Amino acid sequence: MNEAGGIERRDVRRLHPLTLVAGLGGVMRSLWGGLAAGAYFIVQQRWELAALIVGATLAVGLLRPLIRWLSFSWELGPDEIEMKSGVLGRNHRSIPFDRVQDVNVEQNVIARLLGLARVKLETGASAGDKNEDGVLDSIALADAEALRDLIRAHRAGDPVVMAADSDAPIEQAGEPAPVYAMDLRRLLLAGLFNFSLAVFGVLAGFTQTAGDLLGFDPFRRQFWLELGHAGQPFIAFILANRVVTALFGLATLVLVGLATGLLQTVLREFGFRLDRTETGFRRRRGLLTLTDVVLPLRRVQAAILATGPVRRHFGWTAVKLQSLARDSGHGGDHVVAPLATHDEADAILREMDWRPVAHADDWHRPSPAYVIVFLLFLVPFALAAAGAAYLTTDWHLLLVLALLGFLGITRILAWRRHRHRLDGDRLLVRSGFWRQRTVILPLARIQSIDLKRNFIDRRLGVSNLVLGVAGGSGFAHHGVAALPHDHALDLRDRLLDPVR
Amino acid sequence: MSDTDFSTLDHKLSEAIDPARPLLPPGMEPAEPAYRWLLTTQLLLTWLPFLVGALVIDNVVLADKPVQGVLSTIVGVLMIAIVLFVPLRIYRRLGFKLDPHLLRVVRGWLFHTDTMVPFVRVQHLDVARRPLDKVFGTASLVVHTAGTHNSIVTLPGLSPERAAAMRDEIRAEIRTDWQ
Repeated sequence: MNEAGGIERRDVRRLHPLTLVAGLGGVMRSLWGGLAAGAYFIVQQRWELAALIVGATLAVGLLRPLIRWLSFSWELGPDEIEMKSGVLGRNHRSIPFDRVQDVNVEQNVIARLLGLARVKLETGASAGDKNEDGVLDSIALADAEALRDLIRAHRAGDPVVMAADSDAPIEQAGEPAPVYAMDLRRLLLAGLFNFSLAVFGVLAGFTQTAGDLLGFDPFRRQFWLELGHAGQPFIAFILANRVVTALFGLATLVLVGLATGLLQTVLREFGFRLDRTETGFRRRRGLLTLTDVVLPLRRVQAAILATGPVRRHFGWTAVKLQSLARDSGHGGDHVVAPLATHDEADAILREMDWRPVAHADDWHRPSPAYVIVFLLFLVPFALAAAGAAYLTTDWHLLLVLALLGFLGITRILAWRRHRHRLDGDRLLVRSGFWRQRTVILPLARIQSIDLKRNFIDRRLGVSNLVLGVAGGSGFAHHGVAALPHDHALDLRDRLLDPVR
Repeated sequence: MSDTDFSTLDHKLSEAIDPARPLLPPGMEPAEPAYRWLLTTQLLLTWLPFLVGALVIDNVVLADKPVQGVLSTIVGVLMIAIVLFVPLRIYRRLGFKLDPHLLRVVRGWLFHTDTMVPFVRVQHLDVARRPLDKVFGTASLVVHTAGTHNSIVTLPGLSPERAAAMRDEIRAEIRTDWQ
């Protein structure tokens, strides 16, 4: 049977030959060591050696992709895809369509010029190693789309649909309105909120230590002096006192931080569009590198509404879905809306047949032990820092105390935000001060429950519930902290109700 | 419901008579007594390198200094205290229970954890015997779920027969519809 993009079953196929061209940039990057060595010998005027090194590097560098291309083949079975690779050690991998978590079609700039696409089949296995999942790098875009439709149709439980009359791919003119999309204004706004605190911090430290070397230190008078003639009133005002100079330095760094966030956001989220398909969501985004992900709703483990103090003030939130597969680029939960109003977030949840988070007043707050236990664990560090400062008389160590105090304050703020609520067949958990998250976790997705208490918790009569949930990013676990012990036991029983 | 409240007079009395008596919520099975000695050996093996390191530092780096011997003494005393006090306390608080639909494991002294794993969520099971397990005649049952966190639940200190029997029991309950 002939598929839309010309994919035939039981037909051994290779990657697109132009893949070799598209990979040239990567090849050159991997060869720069050899080429640099060649350049060094050219400078030394040792021509034979230089020619030998450059020749050998190029030969190896160009042959390796060719051998890889020749040794790789893939074919479609009735309900699986098979990939064969390797020269010395042959590997034959088969991925059942049933186990594919999502299909990710990616195009970088070169691939777009050549009409190629990289297809990644996420299975959720070996989550740490990105190279280990099923990657076709690269095939023709039409083939990639046909393959995605094929796998998606299989998911719908109706593989026959994909036969002859499937010449109505999703991009056709009659495409229904998206569940969520970002216009340019929203995109730029998201960029502003994506203010890069990391870049700001790094730059601030950098100008303090290396600014002299580069001649870039907006905290110094000299920088502004050189920027214009000191006679101009504006510059003269800046130079008038150190405070103003420092303020302008700060403003410069803030601008750089804003620009970085804006650039990152525009590159990643440009043309963001979320559609409902018969089995789940389809997300397209990207300015230079286009990605096209199909996310089956059956595989969603939890929904996360993420926001921050500033964004929340203006009524914005991001919507993420946690599944076994990882989002490309982020390496965590799948972002289905980078910046949405509450109505838009609710609409997305409704499309999933999930109830929105309703207003309610039966949220439970954690006990003050949430803060006390944390502070008690900080005490040894504080004592050590104070002791060290006293012994070495290096009062910079007192900065550690300031840092610990800051941590304590953020913990108090987090405590004020933290709360949970059992909402029928799902658990809602709100947490965090700077990274505010509301997690919607269906009880049926809870894999295991730990009730943890350390020796301080026991004295204070509290317990922490830690929930095992599949997927998600490496460190953040879902759970409810610092519950009175009896409440924790009770909540655990109710969370386990569906499996009893 | 407070099923971990042990501060009763009755309990204190029995503790004085039998200090190795398991300290568990009602209805839970204790681990094999041999596990206590496995823990002791394990802690000894863990701390031995530190003691050797301290002795080396004392006799090489700190030789002929007034503080020579202090480090070794501290590490030695700490090691003896830990080996004497900790294994019994951990052993007494290690227990498990097979409910009709879930496995419950309680463990830990200073950092106590009470884990529940519904059988329907179990992905696969291991019965593991490390070298020390073989010496002391114990085994561990390892339960894997699909979770990223707490996805591995380990129940040590079982007799090999009991571990295998529990594995078979849970295996019979597993259904494959965790999605």
